[in-house]
Amino acid sequence: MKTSNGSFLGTLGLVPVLVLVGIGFVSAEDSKSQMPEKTQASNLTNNTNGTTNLAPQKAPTVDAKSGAAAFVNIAQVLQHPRCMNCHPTGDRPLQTDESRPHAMNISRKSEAAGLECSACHATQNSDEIGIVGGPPGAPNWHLPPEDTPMIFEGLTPTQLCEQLKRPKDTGGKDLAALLEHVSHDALVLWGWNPGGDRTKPPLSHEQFVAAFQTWVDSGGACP
Amino acid sequence: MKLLINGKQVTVDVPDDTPLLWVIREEVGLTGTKFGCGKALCGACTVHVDGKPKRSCVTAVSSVQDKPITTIEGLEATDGTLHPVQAAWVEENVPQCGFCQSGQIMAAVALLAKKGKTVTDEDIDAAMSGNICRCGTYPRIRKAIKRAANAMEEPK
Amino acid sequence: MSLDRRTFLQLAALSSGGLLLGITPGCANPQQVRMEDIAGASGRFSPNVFLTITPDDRVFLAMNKSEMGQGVMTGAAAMIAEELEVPLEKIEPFHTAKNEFRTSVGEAAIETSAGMQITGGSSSTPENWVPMRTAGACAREMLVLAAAKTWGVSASECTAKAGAVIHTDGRKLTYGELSKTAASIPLVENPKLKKPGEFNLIGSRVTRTDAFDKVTGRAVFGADVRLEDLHNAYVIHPPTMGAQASSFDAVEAKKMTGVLDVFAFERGVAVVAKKYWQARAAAATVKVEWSGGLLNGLNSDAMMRDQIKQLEESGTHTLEAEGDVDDALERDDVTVVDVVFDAPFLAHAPMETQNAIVWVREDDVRVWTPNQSPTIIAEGVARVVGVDMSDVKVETPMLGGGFGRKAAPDFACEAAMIAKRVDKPVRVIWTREYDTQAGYYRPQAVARMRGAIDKRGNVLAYSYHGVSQSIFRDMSSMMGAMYPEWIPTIGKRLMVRAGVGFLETGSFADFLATEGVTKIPYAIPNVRVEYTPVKTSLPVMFWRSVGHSFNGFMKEVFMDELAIAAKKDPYTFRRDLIKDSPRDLAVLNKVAEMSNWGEPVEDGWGRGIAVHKSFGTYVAEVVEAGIVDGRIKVRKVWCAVDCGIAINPDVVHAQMEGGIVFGLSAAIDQKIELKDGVVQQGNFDSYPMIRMFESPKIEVAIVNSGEDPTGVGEPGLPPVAPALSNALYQATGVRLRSMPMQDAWDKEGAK
Repeated sequence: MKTSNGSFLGTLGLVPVLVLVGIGFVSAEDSKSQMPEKTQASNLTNNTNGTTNLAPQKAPTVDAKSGAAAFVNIAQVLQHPRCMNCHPTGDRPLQTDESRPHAMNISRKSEAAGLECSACHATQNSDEIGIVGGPPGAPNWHLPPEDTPMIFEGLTPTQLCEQLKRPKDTGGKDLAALLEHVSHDALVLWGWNPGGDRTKPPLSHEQFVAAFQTWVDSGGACP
Repeated sequence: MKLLINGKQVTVDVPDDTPLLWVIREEVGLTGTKFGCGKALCGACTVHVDGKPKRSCVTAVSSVQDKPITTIEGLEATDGTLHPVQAAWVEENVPQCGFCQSGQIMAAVALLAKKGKTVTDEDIDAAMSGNICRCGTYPRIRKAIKRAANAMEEPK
Repeated sequence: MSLDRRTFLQLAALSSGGLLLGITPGCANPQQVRMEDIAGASGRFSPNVFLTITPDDRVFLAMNKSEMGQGVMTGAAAMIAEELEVPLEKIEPFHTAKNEFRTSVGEAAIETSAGMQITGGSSSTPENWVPMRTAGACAREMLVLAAAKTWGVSASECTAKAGAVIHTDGRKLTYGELSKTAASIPLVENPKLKKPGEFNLIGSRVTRTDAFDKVTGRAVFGADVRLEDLHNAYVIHPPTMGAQASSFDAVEAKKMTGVLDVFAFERGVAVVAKKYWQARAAAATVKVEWSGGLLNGLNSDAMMRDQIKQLEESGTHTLEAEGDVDDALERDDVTVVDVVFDAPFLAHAPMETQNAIVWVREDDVRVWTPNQSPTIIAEGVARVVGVDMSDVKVETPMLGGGFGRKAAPDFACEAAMIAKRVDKPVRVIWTREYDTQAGYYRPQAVARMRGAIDKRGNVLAYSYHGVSQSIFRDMSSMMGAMYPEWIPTIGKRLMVRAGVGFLETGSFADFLATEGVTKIPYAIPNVRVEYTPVKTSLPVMFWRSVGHSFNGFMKEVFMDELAIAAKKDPYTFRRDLIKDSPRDLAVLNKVAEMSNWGEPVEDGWGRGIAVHKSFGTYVAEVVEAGIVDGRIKVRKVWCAVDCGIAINPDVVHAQMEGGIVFGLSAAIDQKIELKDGVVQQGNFDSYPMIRMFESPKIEVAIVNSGEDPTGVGEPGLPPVAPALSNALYQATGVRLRSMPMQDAWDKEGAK
């Protein structure tokens, strides 16, 4: 029952993707016209003033409008519970499709006090070793570091986009490095193999990487 | 498959995906590590892998091959001296039924390895809330951790 | 109560033989090792069933009560050591195998157990108070006589101290050195017991006898017992209680490594393998079709509505009636408080899930199971296997918590049903999910409480009508539905034990359902307590503090409501009403003093107070609580307890702390719900426990009344839920009358 439901939803997932692309395009334009970039950036964190965006390493091969549109779709993925739950605003990871604060008082402080995420989150989903309903897992399950928390929760697509372009926030990763990260990182890939009844992001990983490529090729155009 | 448990190498013949808990209990014969929930929700099965706490009930044995594993039985010194955390547990009369205490102690040892004398109530709340004690020994666990911290050296 | 000569002779005869039974080759259970130590020691001194002293100076204490965390071994060891004059750490307690006490000491020495070996009702300490000290004192006097005989001196020149007898001239023989001679000394019939002022050990802080084993992983719990050729059965249980496997497909499972057999039986489908995980992994491949079930689609919400509806009528049983409650309630000049309380089904959820090993051979059935009553286990297993109870030997490893659940025999019976079909010792370990779903819950309970207060704030009437399932009735009929033959016998035994001999009359009013709301200490002229039993096929059971667990909540929240209605302070209101009940008053005053009752509390926080007597022990608690981010937060709990002489004060403190934390889990979060006969809760994610970060600071004080000791395993629990509700009322102005209170707050308070 659950399995068939999952694959049914998975199939349906393709439909909303197409719809979202359309919606995203429109809203991207809207948000850009309504809010100057600097204002949004200053809403984000208190250390963004005067931060220079990473210069594109090569000339854009995709126009800004397409790049920005692609990013709106990227944002849908980043803010899906599978991705956002480990990119919270505070120190506490989130859980489930409701993105509730993690049970057991888990936070970055837990890790600092010797209890790492990997204490419970093994290198694979528990289901894979016959523990149905156990914790999800992937290699190196962790939160972003405290000084580069890479927050996905509660931001607009524009804010998310700006954040990804600030090396201070990405731990020095440039756009190419980010593309590499989202293409191959095991923990990122887990989002599309979450196990159990967990929902998957609205884009397939392939579509997500393609959108990311488009965005990178646009020089990181923000919506 | 080779495992390194409490400093001893043991060879076990089990499927790769067998949870470490049951390998430790049934193959290696160390029964101090307990089954409480089977889903990393209670912490009773906590052991150390590479010095870090792991819920052995959700850890595939193949993922910890050749990594040093420590169980509650491995905390005592070879001359039988209790680990400072175990000693503090006795001094504070922490255990009631005792079933969760192996896991509590393993979690506390990891906490103090990080924080030592500087351990705060907030640290204890952050590191120990994954371990359930149905008997309600939390106030004593808290006291025992602080007692052990005072008996320990500063972390390096 | 003292041990007469006849009993002592029985004990002596038994201790030389009875305790030695049950030795199983290959068993690594330390209890077994202890028994072997005893058996192998020639010249041992066993003056009674509890005590054995060996020539190498070891002192063994055969326990008649189960150690499930409440410290009963440490308590008994202190009682024995006090009179025997040995250091506490010399005593090696272990759970004795069943039947010795039942058949040999039985009514004579442990009268209140009525021939049963059972641990519950916070009864161990009061039950053992005289027998254990007597056993120690008898041994001491006989050892002194043995030394006097050896030296050819008068016993009056010899003193027992620290495990040895010392002559006035300085000569000394250890108990071990005296054991052989002591065994030939005639039994001392009436030893002289110490007076409370003479106690050295009793009343002082000691290290628990089981602490070392429990911090080193050495303690042997049920699943830690090792036997040669032990096999494991994983039971696939039905989704609803009592459903039967109509068909199953185990083709793949039977091919898997280690799997011995897969078969359907009364309680599900058993997958038997060498190792637990082999059985569990194989079970994952088995497909089962289920049919039937006992619960007829039981829905706990609908049941609750039905229970509440029954509150409109009078109770079918009246347990207490004084004065004229109706008249007082109908007076024109009174304020009437008329409120309804409810509390859900609850699972016990000990950290150690239920488990048992059963080994069936001809007329020799062996059971190893952590349990609260070897007698009940033996009787259940005997019925299942079809042997006489005397052919069943029950060994009790350490219990990883019990809380009442391990007095039911279902897990051992389940293992026996499987073991009958497998020619090997077979172990069953329940999953956490099934442990939560297997029934024998704290009953779901509702009550309507009414009170009348006159213009001057005097309480004129107190009325309680409770509607809940009867635990005693379930012990016979509900379990009987599953095992028709053996339960009634046990039901009868329980009746005898409780002093209630009329279960069969049908008009039986379950005093457990109303315990805690009858005989209240408050001086109120018109009192009525009524009860209406409801029936379901879901068995209910003793759950830490039993009826007090919900009645304490209802009564003490209600008293708070009366205080508010009377415009009085909740503490002084209670104090004035219980001024003629000195022990209640003493703990109430003490907790008010400890908490500095009446001092201002910061905004958003409140303090609530409650006082409740259960199992002979008086406890008052103050809770400081508030709502933080929509979540009930308990910051601090103060507790004052009078349990008579506190044998191990630190154990008393620990039991109060534990009762408070256990009570808070229930008060705030826990509930068992059924939908269409299926229990909705399973693991600790859906049946949550208070964790470290939610655990409040707890301060405990013992009020010493000097009375004989009473139990402490349960009494710390009942006051905490009402004190919490009362605190939240002070903090928020919202009155929560429903448990779990987080649900109640989400519904009512968050508006």
